[in-house]
Formats: sequence, C-alpha cells, structure tokens
Amino acid sequence: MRTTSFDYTRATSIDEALGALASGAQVLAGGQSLLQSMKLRQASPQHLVDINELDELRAVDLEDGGLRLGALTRIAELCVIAEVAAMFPSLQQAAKLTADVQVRNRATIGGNLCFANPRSNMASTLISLRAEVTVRSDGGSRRLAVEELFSGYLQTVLSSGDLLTDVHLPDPGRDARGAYREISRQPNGVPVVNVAVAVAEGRVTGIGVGGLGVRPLRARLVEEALTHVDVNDPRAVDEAAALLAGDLASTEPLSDMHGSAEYRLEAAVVLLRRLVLATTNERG
Amino acid sequence: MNAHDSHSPADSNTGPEPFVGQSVRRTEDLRLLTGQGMFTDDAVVVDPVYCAILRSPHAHARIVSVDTSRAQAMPEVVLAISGAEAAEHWTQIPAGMDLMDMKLPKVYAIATDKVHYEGEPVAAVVAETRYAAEDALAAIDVEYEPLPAVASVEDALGVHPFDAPDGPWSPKAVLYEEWGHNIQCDWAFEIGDPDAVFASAPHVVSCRPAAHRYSGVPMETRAVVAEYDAGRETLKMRVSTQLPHQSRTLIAQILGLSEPNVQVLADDVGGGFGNKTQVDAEVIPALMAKLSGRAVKWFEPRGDWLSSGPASRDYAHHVEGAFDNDGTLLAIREHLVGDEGCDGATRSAGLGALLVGGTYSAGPYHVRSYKARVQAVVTNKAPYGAYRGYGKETANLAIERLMDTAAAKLGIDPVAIRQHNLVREFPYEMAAGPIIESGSFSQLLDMVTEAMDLPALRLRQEQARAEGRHVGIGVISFLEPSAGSIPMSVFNGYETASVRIMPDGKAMVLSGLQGIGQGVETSLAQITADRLGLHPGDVRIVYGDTKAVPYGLGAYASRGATYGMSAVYEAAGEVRRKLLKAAAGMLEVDPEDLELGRGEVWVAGVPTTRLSVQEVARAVYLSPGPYATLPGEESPTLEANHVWTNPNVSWVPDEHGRVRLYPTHGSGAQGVVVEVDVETGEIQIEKMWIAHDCGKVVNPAIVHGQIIGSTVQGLGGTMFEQLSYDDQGKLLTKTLNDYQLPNIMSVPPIEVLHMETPSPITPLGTKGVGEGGCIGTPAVLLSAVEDALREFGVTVERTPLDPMRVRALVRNAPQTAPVAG
Amino acid sequence: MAESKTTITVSVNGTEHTCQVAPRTLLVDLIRDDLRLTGTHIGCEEGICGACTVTVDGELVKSCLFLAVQADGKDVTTVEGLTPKCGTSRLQESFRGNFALQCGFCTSGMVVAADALLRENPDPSEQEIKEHLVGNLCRCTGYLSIIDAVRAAANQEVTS
Repeated sequence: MRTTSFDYTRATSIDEALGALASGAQVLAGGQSLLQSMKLRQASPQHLVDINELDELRAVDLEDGGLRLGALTRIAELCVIAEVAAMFPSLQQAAKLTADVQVRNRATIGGNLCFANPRSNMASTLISLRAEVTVRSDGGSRRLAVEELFSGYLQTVLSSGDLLTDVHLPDPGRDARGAYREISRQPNGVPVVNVAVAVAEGRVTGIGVGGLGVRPLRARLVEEALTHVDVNDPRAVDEAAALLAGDLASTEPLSDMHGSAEYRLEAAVVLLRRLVLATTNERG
Repeated sequence: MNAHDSHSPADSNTGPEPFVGQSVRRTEDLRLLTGQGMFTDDAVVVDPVYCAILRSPHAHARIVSVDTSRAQAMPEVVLAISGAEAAEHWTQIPAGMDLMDMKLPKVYAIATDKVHYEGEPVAAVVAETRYAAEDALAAIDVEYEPLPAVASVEDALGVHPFDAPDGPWSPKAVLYEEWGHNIQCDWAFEIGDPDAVFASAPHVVSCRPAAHRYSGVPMETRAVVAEYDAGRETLKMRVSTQLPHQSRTLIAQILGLSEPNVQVLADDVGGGFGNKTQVDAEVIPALMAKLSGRAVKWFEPRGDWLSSGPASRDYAHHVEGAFDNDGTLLAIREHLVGDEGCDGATRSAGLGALLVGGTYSAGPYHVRSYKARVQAVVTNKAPYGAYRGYGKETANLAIERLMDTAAAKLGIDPVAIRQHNLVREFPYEMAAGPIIESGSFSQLLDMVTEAMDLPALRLRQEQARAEGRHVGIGVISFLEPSAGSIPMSVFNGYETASVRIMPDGKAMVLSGLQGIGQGVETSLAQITADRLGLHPGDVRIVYGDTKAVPYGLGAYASRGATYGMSAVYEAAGEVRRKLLKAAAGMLEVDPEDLELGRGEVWVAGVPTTRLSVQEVARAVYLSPGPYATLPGEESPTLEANHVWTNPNVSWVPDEHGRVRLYPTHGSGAQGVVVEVDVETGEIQIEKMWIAHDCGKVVNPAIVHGQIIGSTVQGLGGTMFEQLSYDDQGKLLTKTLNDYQLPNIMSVPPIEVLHMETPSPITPLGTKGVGEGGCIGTPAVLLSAVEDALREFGVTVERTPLDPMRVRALVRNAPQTAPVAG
Repeated sequence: MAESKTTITVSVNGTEHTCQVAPRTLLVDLIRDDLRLTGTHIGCEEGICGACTVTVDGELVKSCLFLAVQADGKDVTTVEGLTPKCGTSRLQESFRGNFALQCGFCTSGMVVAADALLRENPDPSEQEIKEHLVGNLCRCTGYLSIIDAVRAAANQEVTS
C-alpha cells in the first residue's frame, strides 16, 4: 500500500522543527521505519516535518571522555566512525547487523530510538553503554537515560512537541570492552532477541536486552548480581544471568510467532551468559 | 566455492555447433540487466486508472452489507463496486481442476455473501491514482457477521484423521454449507495387498513428517493491465502469469466474452514457481476495465499477496513401512492430510499436489505393495496453490524420514538402507502406477557421499561431539517427476510449437511455453539452431501472447524440457526436412547428401557446392516460390506446427484407481552438514551437496542455476519462511519482515554434481529440471538436525526449523546431553 | 480535493527534471510513473526486498522508503543510468556471463547495489559482497551466481 496523504515541511532550523512539532507535526528523520508503518497504514500522521537538512543534528563530537552523536547520525556512519570503532565496538557490531546497507544509509540513531522497536539492536546496545539522550522542546531541553525513553511497545515517553537531538555515550572506562549478539531466523533478519554487554576493567558496566519485553530493557538485577560474583565462574555467571527474568518483570514479555516469551527469555539468558564470559575474560 | 566446478560459464554464443549442451549466454539478460524488461506493470497505457481491492479482515464471516457510496463520491474515484454488484457482470470462478470427485466451491472473484479467509476480496475500486484508489478502500463500509473460524484440520474435522480416518466429523464450522463437511477430496488406492505384507513383516516402522505453510512468493506480485474496447468487444490484458492461454480461457468465460476477443500478454514475468497458475483476483481489474471504459492497472501490494496469494505445503503424513530383516522395504502405507486453506481446486489448483504426494511416497525406492489415502481439508485460510515441488517434496519427506527411522530401528547405516532399496532397473513401473523411464539413482547417491567424504565427516562429527558440539549429517535421495499432465485441469499434457524460417533465413519459433525466468528463449533457440543449421542469435522465440501463439499450456511442473523442447524439436525437424528438400532441388542433389550448419547447406564432401539458408528461404517463399522449390509438398513453405504428447501419461484410472500423470523423472541425491547450537536452537549450515540428473542437459549453466535456486528455496522454506495464522485464522505474517525470504547471507556453499541419464521418451533425452532442490532439501535438513541431536533421542519430523522450535526439541527431549560452556 | 503539490527539481541519470509531486509520492513512483524509467521495480514496497534500489547523491537507498520531495535538488541514478549508450557495463556483462539472473525482476536493484559496492571497494571479498547485498532479495538464483558475478567484475575477469 501507499501512505495516506500528509503535509510536508522541510525544517531549516531546529527552532522551525520545534515549532512544527508543537503544532502537531511528526518528525521525519531517516524514515526507514516510519514510512514503512505509514505504508502499511499503521500510522497516518497529518503532517511530517523533515529534519534531514539540519546539519547541527549530524555532529559527532568527543565529550567528557565519551562521544556525543547527533540524532541524525546514520547507522551507516556508526559502522565507519573511527571513534565508535575504538571506544564502542559493540555499537559498531550492532550497527553492522542493522537491516542492510540501503536502510543503514538513511536510518538514524535518533529515529531508531524514537521508533521504540523492542527488538532494536541500537537500543539494547546503547542501554548497555549507559547512553543518554537530549530531548528538546519549546520549553527547553532535558536529558534521560536511553532505557527511560521507552514506555511500551513502539512507544516512548516523548510528547508531541519533543525532538530528540543528541545521544551521549559516556566514557566507557578503562580497558573497556563490549559485545553485541543477536538471534534471528537468518542473518540480518529481524532479531528475535538480542543482548549487549559493556565491560570495563573486567567488570560488567551495563547490559541491554532487546526482544525480550515489549520495550528494550536494562538488566539491572543481572548487572547488580554480577558485581558480587566471580565473572570467570560460568555457573555463577549463569545464575546471575537467570535474574533476567526479574528484570523482565518490570515490563510485559514479548511473544510472537518468531519466539515465545519462554524461548526469548531462555535464549537471552544464554546469550547474556556467553557474552559476559567472553567479554570479561578476553585478553586485551 | 564449488558452485561452478561442473560447468563453464564461458560465452559460447560464437562457439561450435551443436549448441545443445553448451552454456550459451541468455538472450533474456540484455534487456533485464539494463532495465528494459517488460514486466506487467512496466507497460505504459493511455490515461490509466488504478485498481485497489478491499479484502476481508475476518477469516470467516457473513457479509451483511457492502456500501460503496462514500468511496464512489470521492473526487478521484472512477468506480467502486461490491461483490454483489460485480456478480451481475460475471460468472463464478471456473475450477482450475476437477477430478477424483473433488468438491468445488462456487465462488466469485469478489465475495458476495460470505468470506472464507482473511484477505478474500469484498469490493474493488479504480481511481485516477494508486494513492486515491487505496484511500477509497477506507471509505467502503462493510458489515460482517463473524462466524467461527476454522483455523486447523482439527477445527475443520473435530478430530484429526490420523486418530479417526473416517470420522465421525464434528466441525467447528462448515465453510461450504452445501458440502456438509470440510473435506474437499478423499482419495485412496492400494495395490499388492499391503495389509497382509504388514501383518507378516519382521519390522514395521512409522513416522509422522509434517511441513508448515509456505509458498513461492515471487519477487513480482500479481499484476494486470487491462484494456477493454467496447466497440470491438475485445479485451487486451497483460497478466503476470505462467499460463497465458488457460488464463484467456478462464477470463473469457468469467466475463462472458468470446475467447477470440480476449488477448492475454505475458512478456517478462517476475518469477512464478507455480504461484502464478490460477485466475482469481486477476479478473477483477479486467471487469473494472470493462465497466469503467478505462485502461486499468493493478499491481498487487505485497501484503495482499501474503494474505491472499496461493499458499502451499501445510500437510502431515502418517507413513508406515514394512521392512525385512535386511532392510528391504516390503510395503508402504501412507496417510496424507493437507490443510488446504479455503480451496485447492477452484481459486487455485494446489489440491493436485496432495494427490501427487500420495502417489509418489515410495520415492526412488523399489516396493510392490503400496496403499495411500489422501484427505484434503478446507480451513479459513488463503487458497492452496501450486508451488515448486507440487507434492513431490511432500512424498520425499515421507519416504526419506521413513528411511532414516527404519535405519535407526534396524541398526542399518542410513546410506546403506537407501542403496539397498533404490530402483536399479528401468523402465520401472511404480506400484502406484507411474513409469520411471530411466535413471541412475544408486550412482547419484554414491556421487554425493563421495563428494562429501562421508567417512571423514563422521570422524569429524565424533570429534565435535567430544567437544560438546552437535554436528549433524544428512543424506537423502529424491525423485523429481516432471512434466505433470493432469486431466480435467489447467495442467494438461501437451505442448505446441510453430517453427518457421522467414524469407531472410532467420527463424521464428512460437512456443506455448511461458518464460518466467527459466531461460526458455535461450534454450529453445539452441535446439532450433541445431535443427536448422542456424546460430541461436538468428532464432527468435515468441511466447506469452495468445494472439500470436497456438494454444499451449505454459510453464508449470518442470514441463519445458519435456513438452516444450520436444514440440520445438519435432516442428523444427519438419522445417529442416523441407529446407533440405528445397535446397536439394536447387543444387540438383539428393537431400540425404546435404549437410546443414552455420547458416548454410552444402553437399557432403563438396563444400564449394553450397547455398545459404537465406538463399533457400528466399527461393521457397518468393523467387521463384514454392511451386518450383517444394513441388508436391502438402504445406510448401518453411513452416511447421507440432503438438507433442507422449505415451507415458495415462489418465484413465486402472483397476486399482491408479493414473500416470508424470512422463519423465529426474532424480538426485543430497547431503548436508549442519551444526546445532542446542542452547539457542540456531542452525549453522556448513555445506550442501546435490547430485542431479535431468537427462540430456541443453544449457548446463541454466540447469545449474535451477538447481541452486531450487535448493535455496527449499532451504528458505524449511528454515525461514512461514505463513503463520493464529487460532482465529488471523494471518500473522503480513510483510516480508515476518515472511522471511532467504537473503544472501543465509546461503551456504552448495556443490552441484551433474549426471545425464537420457530419457528414452523425449527426442533429445531431456527431462524436467527446476524443482529438485525444493524436493529434497526439507528432508535432508530434518535428517541432519535429527542426526545432530541424536544423543537427545529426539525425532525431528516437522518444519520449520527455526531457533525456537529447534530449541524446544532439545528442551523437551527424553534424554539430556552435556552442552558446551 | 486534489492534494497540494510542490515543485521539485531532480536530476535523474544526468537529466534534470522539474516535477510536481504530492508530499506522499514515493521516489520510486516518480521514477517509474512520471519519468517512465521502469527498470526500477517494486517487489514489496515495504523497504525490504531492495528491487527499488537507486542511488541518491551517490548513496544507496531504497526508493520506496524515500519521498520524492526529499530528492529535490539531488542526483538520482537508476539502472538505466548505469547502462552505457551501447551495450552493457562490465558489471552487467559479468552478471550475464555468470548467469546471475533468472526472472530478472530483482536484477536492476541488484546491479545498482553491486555497482555502488565496486565503486567504494573495487576488490571486495565474498563476505563483503554478502554484507553489501543483504538488502537485495533474489528469489530465483540462490545468490551464489551473483556473488560470482560481482567477484568476476571486480577482478576484471569477465568471461568473454
């Protein structure tokens, strides 16, 4: 199908975009998820404000030992930016497994987060890296952790006048490592479940999980448990990973034809255990 | 990569004759590679309107009312029509198949009183733009009275036929009230007193292999461009179809038009795989053209294809084998139940696939006692259509899983038990009726196991198991019946060719085949070129135009190499005879003394006494003309028609109820190595091998491509693709995100091995090719995964092999095994 | 209520076009219906199959997930633009020589995508070819011949 009709504004400044958003427009960033859902007539916005020409949303800067990525940073750029490769290899792994070249050339990191797909590999990876986002509106700006952005299936906490402008990746710490892994029916297919783990100085600093709940999750209980166990002990790590069930309790489990809730949890625990053992024990 | 070990892709267009047997580059490719193909929606017509179809959101419901008035009032809408309104202008859909006492639904292309699946058309619109047409769908008001949805065989019958083959049935609802039940066809036959053999057999093994619902899903969905000329009462239709002539017949009948007044054109078709062998929604844009007076374009949205296109597979076997102590197969009892969705005979002709499944469940193995029962059950899902394999993969899954089960139970090596039972003498009349005209089954199996280096693989498998890894090896054989010839159906058993040399010495071939990607323009030109002493580039192949080509049957059932090529070969042979006769007269020699090639005819041994084919042709047609050049000839120009049939088709059931629907039989063997992650259920396919025999190969590179392509479709169907419904008959797979076609990352290395055992019943020795990989791949993958999970003691007999289901096999396994850390 | 249209100027295969488009008009519809460049195909219109692949300012995109208005002022290249005036490109010839197409419906998008790969990476490995073409579905060939074709074109070993 094709989309329903809509008005179109090409924003030339953030303020112009915010003005349009305040009057009810919806953001068109890369459009790779939005246009798809509009063509399936699952979404029918009356007015789109296209932010693709806003170069200030494309900046990539070093920031407090970490990295600030403009919301319009394309997933394809994440695959090649040297700082991402050096500081956040898991983000690059996840980026390279996102859809395909054509989609990555358009899809943006901000758009990906705002679409709030629970299987998003960007979301789980950014959660593991303890990333935050800056959200601007007419009333000013605020910052929130990526995992706080999602309120439900394909839903965020953002309100209609909000514009996600930046993603902040904090200093990954000393001897930082990270890894991303997903299970899908076939390579580059939509992930059934995915897990990202960040490690610094041999300790797990963050875990993000996608495809498990109706929104991407941070595995806080597992993170907490892992601070008390020997990460070289597979049994202990496995026990900690099993606490993922408790983290899932904060939201509704996802279950569909590609994976039952039971399978998703079981598989996520396995991936989590393997990633923790691999990332905490690898030699730098 | 070994993909091209066995053929040379070198350009042979300028190579030596004969052209048959060479990888001549494809004629089709130049236009397709440069964006100049002519797929249906590429056609430009004057002032078109665009058709959109409103489809039922319910699996099963009565239509209380349809109100199109709001849509009709929209500014860009030209016409909006309900099923009831359309019914005043057309007939119900004629059945694509009517045999074996099957029940035929009486339905219109747009539903009138009741919908039988989510996706059934309930109204249609044409508007000035595609966007406006789709907008208008939302303004059509339909009131439904939902009925209980029949979402499974159990829903349809109340009890599974494996538990109670003859009922009594207690359906959740009946789809077609006039039937009183939900069984479209119930067919049984037996030969060789199988029950007695079973009663006395040393070993009886059984299994219940089953496949989920998936289909061909060509990259081009259905498409129509229809133009109606009211003054002449003619309809010109471009259709993305495998069957232009049968489409014309059915469309003319539905619309009440004289058949000579309907032209169906199919230039480039973006894939078919059996899925484009019906007339269903295609007639809607035709009616809209007739009623609106405008040219109508309809290019089906992918979501509509997935909800209403022909589905396939979705069957379950209960197959039993009686075996002797040495592993000899003594008898087979096969019970096959198919979930056809709403219909497998009228809207779409998939029912035949179940009959083929019941016929061929002995596969390439010798057995004299055979009993089959086939029950085709209707449910509230999309129609059941033809798809690559058409029941041969169904049969293969039964016999190959049975062989593995027997091997395990009898303690015989799985390859050895196959070798022991393979048919070795030909022609071979199967217990079920078909005559396998030739083959080298045993050699094919040897080829595969040797290429795999099976002993080394077994050793590596043991080492992997010692490390806690689960490597599995599968080896199977398959039979590939081709050129299906089903009486009382659109899939009949003949083909036409008209071959002519034009006055300029170049040839034109009109073939009833249809190009859908299988390279018919190239391979038919190779055959014609050899017959007429021409270069393939000087042979023009015409198909896909019912105004130009004599009534022929198109592309299905891998029939091209049997029917289409043979018809062209024979017609070209007649032209050759006349060409040589005319040349002999001109050179004042005997025709037997002449040789033909490279566009010339010359006296054997006297190469200076020669004429070009062009000189002969001009002499025959114009100067001086046929009176002088072909005196006494009944049809004295360089043109001939041939309709090819063959003796190995028999559609009158014999005393056992058996028929012979496939005249030629390709065959092959497959091997695969997989590794299963038992904790996540993921399967890694390390490598596949396929040995294949389709008789004489006309174009090795084309044949190679068919084998690889069908193997990857078999892989996709077994592992990734799924048409999934919930228990209310709601489709869950409405996009290609959910219906996952295999992508380039998913294809393992595939080694192809070729063998040529000519068919004695075709003039060139050809047999069909194109379905083999679809036939054997499901069974070989199930076999390998079962082998990988052997220490868990699980039976792997159902597709799909997706991570969730594979993990469930391990989780629910009777035994546990150590896993890697 | 005809939709309001905006005027855009877009260069397609080196020819500048000024077109009136509604905001919701997809780039692929502009290319096929307005400019009648029907080599670009629509296989799923959901951004999955890649049959509609073109480049915009040199970047590979799916033209069914790209609004025509967003192409204003940009350079679009379709399969027709990669085809020499006479004959075929080396890549196209390599596809032909390796029998890397059957029905040909996906082929235009495949050629555009493979061409973009070879421009940025003249000697891609098999893995790189696979990673690059994962967004282009082919239902006929099973892909192996496509990998061969791209490698052969890269190696300039086009069989002839």
